[in-house]
Formats: sequence, C-alpha cells, structure tokens
Amino acid sequence: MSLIDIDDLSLFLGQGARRRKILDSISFSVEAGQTYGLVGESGSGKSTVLRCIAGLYRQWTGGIAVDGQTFRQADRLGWCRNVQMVFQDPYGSLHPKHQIEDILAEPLHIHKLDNIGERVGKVLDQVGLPGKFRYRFPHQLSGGQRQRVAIARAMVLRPSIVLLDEPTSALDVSIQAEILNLFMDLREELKLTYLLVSHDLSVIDHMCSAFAVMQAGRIVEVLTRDALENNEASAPYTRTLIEASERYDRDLALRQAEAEQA
Amino acid sequence: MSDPILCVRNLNVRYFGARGAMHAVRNVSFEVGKEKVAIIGESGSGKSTVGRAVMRLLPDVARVEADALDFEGRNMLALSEKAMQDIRGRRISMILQDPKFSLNPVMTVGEQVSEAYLAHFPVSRAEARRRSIEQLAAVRIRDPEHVYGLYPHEVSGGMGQRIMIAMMLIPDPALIIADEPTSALDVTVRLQVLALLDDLVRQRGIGLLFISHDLNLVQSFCDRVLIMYAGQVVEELRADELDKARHEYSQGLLASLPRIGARRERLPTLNRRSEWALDLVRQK
Amino acid sequence: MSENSSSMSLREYLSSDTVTSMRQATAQRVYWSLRAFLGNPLAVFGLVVILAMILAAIFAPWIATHDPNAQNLSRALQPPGEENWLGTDELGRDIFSRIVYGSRISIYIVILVSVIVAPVGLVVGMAAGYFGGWVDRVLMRVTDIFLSFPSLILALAFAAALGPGIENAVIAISLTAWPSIARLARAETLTMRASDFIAAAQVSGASALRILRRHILPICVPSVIVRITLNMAGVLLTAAGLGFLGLGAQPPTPEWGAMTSAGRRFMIDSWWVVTMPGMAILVVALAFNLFGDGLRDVLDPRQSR
Repeated sequence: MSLIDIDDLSLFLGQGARRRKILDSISFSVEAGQTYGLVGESGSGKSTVLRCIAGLYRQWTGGIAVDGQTFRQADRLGWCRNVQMVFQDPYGSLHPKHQIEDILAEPLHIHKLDNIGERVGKVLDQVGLPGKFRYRFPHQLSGGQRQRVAIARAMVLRPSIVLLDEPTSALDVSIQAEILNLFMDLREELKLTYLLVSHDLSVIDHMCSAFAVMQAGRIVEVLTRDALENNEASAPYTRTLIEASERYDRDLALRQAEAEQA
Repeated sequence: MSDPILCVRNLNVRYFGARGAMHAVRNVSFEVGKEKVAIIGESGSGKSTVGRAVMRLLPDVARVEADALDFEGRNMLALSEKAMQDIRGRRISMILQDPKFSLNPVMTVGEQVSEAYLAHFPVSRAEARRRSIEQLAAVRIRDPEHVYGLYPHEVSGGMGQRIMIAMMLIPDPALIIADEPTSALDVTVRLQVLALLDDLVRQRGIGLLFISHDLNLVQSFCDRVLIMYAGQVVEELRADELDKARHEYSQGLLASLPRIGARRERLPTLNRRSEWALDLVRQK
Repeated sequence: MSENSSSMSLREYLSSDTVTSMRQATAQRVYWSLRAFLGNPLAVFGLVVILAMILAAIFAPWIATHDPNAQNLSRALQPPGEENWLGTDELGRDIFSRIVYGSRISIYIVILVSVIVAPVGLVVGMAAGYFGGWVDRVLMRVTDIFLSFPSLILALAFAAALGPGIENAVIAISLTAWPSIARLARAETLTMRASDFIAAAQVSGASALRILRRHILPICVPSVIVRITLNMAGVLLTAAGLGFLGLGAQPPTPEWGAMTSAGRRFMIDSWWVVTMPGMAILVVALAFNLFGDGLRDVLDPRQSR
C-alpha cells in the first residue's frame, strides 16, 4: 500500500452548458518519502488534482486515500493536519493584514495545540528565517522570504504530506535554488512526502523520482527520472514537452506547427 | 556588424521618490543590429527599466541621461515628445508579458488590428479588414477569419501574443523591444511565438531586444546576451558562449539553474557579494 | 527588555527596522497611517470639526450660554449680538445654546445608525459573498428590495407608521442605509474568496465562521468604516430632513432640522433663525465627507483617486 492513492479521480465544474470535465479518471500512487511530480501546461488540471487532495474541491468522484484512509472517511481536522499545501504566488497566499506570527499561529490555534510561541519560533528557524521577521507584515518581506513563510505555515502542523503547487515559479532563479534546497532539507529532516506540481521539467527532474505528464485533464504518461534522462518517453506530447523545455529549436517549432495544421 | 539600429551609451536612470533618489540603471551601454540581443537579470536588476527608458515610457519621477541614445542615427534624447510618439508608433514596437492587458477588452481583436492598419495607411475599411486578416495569417494564426471576430477574453495567451505581434508589424518597425514576451506562455506555445520573432529578425532584418529572466531560453534563442545586476551590465557575451561566463554573478546564476539530467542533491546558491553592486566604471 | 525600550526614543521605537513585539508592530502601523492622514489638510479639518462637535455634545451644559429651552418672549427674534451670539428664535431661546445641545441629538442619531447598520451590513454581505449559491441569491434580493426605496421616502413611511420621534427616525434611516454596506462587504468578500490566503486557511482546517471572522472581516472593516463615515453626512441630512418635516425629533427638542423648519416663517426678517442651524448641518455634513475621504486614502488606498 502506498502513502497516497488516487484512484479514478474525475471532476466536473460549472453548470448547464458550461459544465466541463476538468479531471478525467486520474489514477496514481505515491510512496512514503518520495517526491512525486505532476507536470503539464496551463489547463491540464495538474493544480486541480492538488486542490482535490487538499479538500478545496469536494464534488469529485473516485477515490483519494492517504495511508489507507479515504478522504470521505477521514475527519476534516485530522486530514488537514496530515496534508498541507504550499501555493504558487507568495504575494497572494499570505493574509495582507496578519503579521507573520499570526499567520504561523493560526493553524496551531485551529488544531488547539499548545506551546504556540515555541512552535512558531522553531518552524521559523527550520525554514531559515531570522526571528526578527516574526512581527513583520507580509508586504515588508521579499518574494523569497514570503515563500519561506508560506512553507513554514505548511510545516507548522507537522504534516506527513505536503502538496507543492508551482512553489518556485514566481521566484527568481537564485531564490528558486534556495527554496528547492530548503524543500530537500525539510524532506530529510521531517520525513515528508511531496507531491510537486510544476510546468518546468527541469525542476521536476531535479526534485522528483517519478512524475506524471498531464494534458487536458488526463494523465498522458508516467515516467521515472531515469526514463526521462535516457530519453525513453513514448507519448508524442511528452516528447514535444521535453524538447520544447530544453531549448529553443526552430526546426522543432516548424515541425510542431505543421503537425498542428495537419 | 553593419550599422547598429539602436546605440545606447552610458545610459543612467534615476528615480526621485519620497525616500530619496534611486539609481536604477547605471552606465549601461549596448548596440542592437539586425540580431537578437538579450538583457537578462533578476527582478530589480533594472532590465525592464532599460527597455522603457529607450521607449521613453518611464514615469515622470524618473530622470534619463545618456551619452548617446541613437536610433537609426537619430539622437532620441533630443526628440520632442511628438516625434517620439511617431517613433514609438512606427519604428520601435514593444511587446509586453501579458497581452490581455494590452488589448482593448470591448473590441474584437480583428477590429483592433484594422484600427492599427487604418492609423498608418489611407485605405478603406474593407481593405483594412482584408489586410488585417492577411496579417493574422502571417503570424501563423489558423483560421484568421474566425479569430478576427473574437474578443480578447476569448483567445488564449499564445494567440493573444501573436495578435499583438501582428498589430505591431503593421507599420514595419525596425526594432522590437520584447519584455518577458513568453513568460506567461506554456512551453509549446512559447516555441511558436519565439519562432515567429526569429523569422522577423531573419527575414525582415528587424532588430530584437529581448528582456528576460530565463537563462536557458536566451542561451538557445538569442545571439548576444547582456547580464545585468543591480542596474549595471556585469558581463556581455555571445549567447552560445554563456556557459563560459566569467563574472561570478553570471556563473552563480547559471549554476543555480536546475537542469535535466544534472542529478544534484543540492543546487549551488548565489552568495551575493557587495562588491558586485559597486560602480564598475569607477572601479576601472 | 523594559530598560532597552525606555532607552530607545519614541521616534526610534516607531520607525525602527527591528520590531520586537506585536505591540510595536501595531504602533508602527498606526504611526505611519497617522502621518499619511495628517498630510491631508482637508481631512484634518473634517476631523477637527467632528471632534469639536463631539466635545460640544459632551460639555454642552458648560459651553451653552443659556438654557436651550428657556423661553424669553421679551427677547424674541434678537439678531446675533453680545447677549445672544447667534441671535434668538421666535420664543426668545438662544440659538447658539440650542445648536450646542442639538449636536447631542445629531451625534446620537449618527452613532446609533452606524452601530445598527455596520454589523447587519457586514454579516449579510460577507455571508452572501462567502457562501454564494442560494444564500447569496436570497440575501442579495432582500438587499435589492431595500435598496430600491428612496431612503427619505422609506424613512417618511416608517416615521408615519411608527409615529414621529428620534428612535423611529433612527430605525427608518438604518433600514435604508444597511444595503449599501452589505453590497460593499459582499463585493470585498467575492474578490477575496478565490484568493490563495483563504484557500490556505481552508487547508489549515479553519471553519467557515473562523475564516469569515479572522480572515475576511479584517479586510472588509476598513472599507466599511470609510463608507459609513461618508454615509454619515447623508444620515445627518436625512435626520434633519425628517426633523424639518416634523417626523423626527419633536419640539421643544433642539434638533437642527426641526430648528430650520420652525425658523422658515421668519426667514425674511430674521434670517439667522434658519441660517444658523442650517450652517451647522452644512459644516458637519461637509466635515464627515472630508474626513471620510481622508480616511479612505489611509485605510483603503485601492479606492482612492
């Protein structure tokens, strides 16, 4: 049994004529301690999968289970304590009127945990933020520092699973490197399992041992890191995605345009 | 290299705000010929400010100074606002990151292209419409007749960017300044937009100033690269020689980039050194 | 610790980069907002007038030169002068004293309306915006119904039905004032509902009530305060209007609207009987508007011009 089991997950959104299938029979599983990737372009549904697992969408069909316990059976607070999420935009994911202290203490209050001051101090230390940030407001922090706060918020409940939704795509490359390193360190230190969504194959390759390629709500192909590096991708879409992300290639662009015309 | 289209020497931009002056761009010099020149840097490096300073699109609190800011042999600093508007409309075009903000939401995209056409050529509306559809086809939009009648919210990001390029090409510009034109696009769509820009440089002899944060992309797409840090160009080199960058900042930036197949436990991080921000010119 | 902060000057405490407590962070925020507010002379003028009015209301017995209800027919309709600064009315009552006491009634109405309207509007608007669906549809249709009545007419109908009096005037005004607050709160909530910080709170396991109270309310409150301040001018005018029509405060209560109404018979010969309370209404209404504008620039920078 795997830590995360997603089985035949489908989701429709909208009503009447605008009702659309967002996710189409998604199935995959993630082992404990693994970093599993979901890669795809905008509209592929990769972030939506995370939002379903986090409980932000409820109207899906199929099965989501963590540690053998399904989402529908689990009690909400217990699920939240075990499954946390880091969002893409560090500017939008922190409450603009809450101080860092409030932001980090809020989950602890919700779960009625004790030693709040101590836990907040510890988690700040774990994500590499000096204690002086504690009483700042988000707008006084840089993008990278904000993302560290968002990571600290996810870690403060000591979850076993952290869902990462494009956690570095809004950051500069040098900051991205620091944040990716931080994720690696925290995974070792806190024995975490990650589910990482990204449009950037090189980030996925750096972080994940295996990943699923998504397109238009479906999983096109599941690849391991070895298969990616040995050029063993078989689905045409995956191959295009890999080639297009590696470098600009005029011939590839022309071939792709022709394929679209046909 | 033949005569440069754009020649910038010792460009300085200072912002005068409530909290004192800020020297955003310091002694930046470069030339753009019939080629693809990239300005690369992280947020706050001043790369976008350079593009806007050339277009004279900076807010009033900014003061622009330069030893030379020549476009097609004319000194742009001496031009009146009216002459500058003329250059902005006809000879230099700008593409921004998100086309959705640049298009009028209540007009169909076709009407907007037609309007742009009518502004430059004395032709009938029917003729403008015909030419506009040709123009849309020229930027490799399939079924241009259909796209002509769509509103901006009905087109995808990649399509929107192609429409912006179509509009921009009408007056036959000599220089295109593209500020992160593909950052909001998916990789496969990005490829198409880049191929389009590539063709313009190759076939029409347009100069392209490509402002980006994406080292990987610039390396394979552009001819020359300027690397900016803290308002200065720390290094200038050929794009295919980017790996041989000598400045510590450029090297650090390249090393911190995740790459497929690199298999590193940790990515090297950048140790920003205070001397990088010192005035390079004064150092010499 | 305490030694440390006492050795630091107040100025350093307020502008220091290293914040060591929650209290200091809040103090700093208040300090910067205050500085921004004080940079706007019109808003400061508004604030001064409002403060003066509040002081006048509190210390009316000491400020007033006469008993506001004491009639002295031998000194009826005296022009402004030494003895009666703003003149006397047709019953010989001192207008200045009546205006001073009248400020109590105006403040009473304005505060009571705000206290009723703000919570009702916030609760209805936030619930409609956050829950959406049928909750939103029902609440907003109710809001629309109240919004579709012209406020003075509805207030008139209520005053007519419930009988004239200050309390009924307050109820009538409140009924017409809450929908605009509800709409504002709903619009604010809608823009926030899809934001990541609300999603993050949901992922933390926060209940809907907690999200509304801890996350949405703090963002709605400043714009609601601004709107209420701007509304106060309207409330004041409606109250005066009801008083003028005889449906608000009843004589001999020195209500400004009622005073102008009583004085209009003598307008030609004794202009001050109407003009003085009219001026009071004008100045205070203007002050609320200016103060509200200034407050908006500080609390809600997105909406400023």
